[in-house]
Amino acid sequence: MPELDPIIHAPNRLRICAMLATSAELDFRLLKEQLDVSDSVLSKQLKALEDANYIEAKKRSYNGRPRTWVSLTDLGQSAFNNHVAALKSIINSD
Amino acid sequence: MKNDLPSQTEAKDALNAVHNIQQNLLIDYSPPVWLRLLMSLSYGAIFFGYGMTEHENTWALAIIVGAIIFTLSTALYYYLYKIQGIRIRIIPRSIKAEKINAYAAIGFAALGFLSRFLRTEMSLDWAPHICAATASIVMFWLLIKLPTGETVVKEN
Repeated sequence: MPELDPIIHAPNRLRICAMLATSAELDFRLLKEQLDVSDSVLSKQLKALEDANYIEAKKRSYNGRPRTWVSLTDLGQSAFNNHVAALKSIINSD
Repeated sequence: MKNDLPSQTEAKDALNAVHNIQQNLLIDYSPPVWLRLLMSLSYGAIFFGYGMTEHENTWALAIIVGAIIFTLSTALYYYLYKIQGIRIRIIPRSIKAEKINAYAAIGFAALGFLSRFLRTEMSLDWAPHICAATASIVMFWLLIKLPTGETVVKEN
């Protein structure tokens, strides 16, 4: 039976991983808009995921303005899939 | 984590949160329908041109024009996502998306082959029309259901 991941389990981190699983990379600004949190709150959540090697953040310049692109690593994708599977198994357990 | 497992309701809420934020992202940021329609029709034009082409006839132009429009509209599709803060995946990572893409690739290859073979070898003149229409519809469905190439858009 898959186990819940304590790093991903926090609501905002779960939603960050869910969004990152839909694409190759997402902009920091988009994540912030979707979660409706401040820069510092988002940075803190991303740092926790980055420390676990679940995400990668890359800074790139676009039209002269720096943008931070965040992506889920293979390890992060696997951890997210396992976490979702664990949630499903809890729901299906009697 | 085993000591404080969430209840079924909490687990359901967490899964709903995952589902909702993914669906919101896929639906709110998807490029306009006209662009996806243009991509689908130009893709179908390639199949139609291929099925109708004989030695140096003008239908070869449909392949060229279709390929140019499809390439440009695909570039615009990627660009529109990028300026909104989304870089879409070309090669999918999820097994479900991989399967859909694999089936689509096999299906498109079969349509391309049949488009020409049925008309030239079996004299079925309508074959390119049907194959092109099918290719357009399947491409449009893929762009609606799998807009970022990874997660499927589901009906609420």
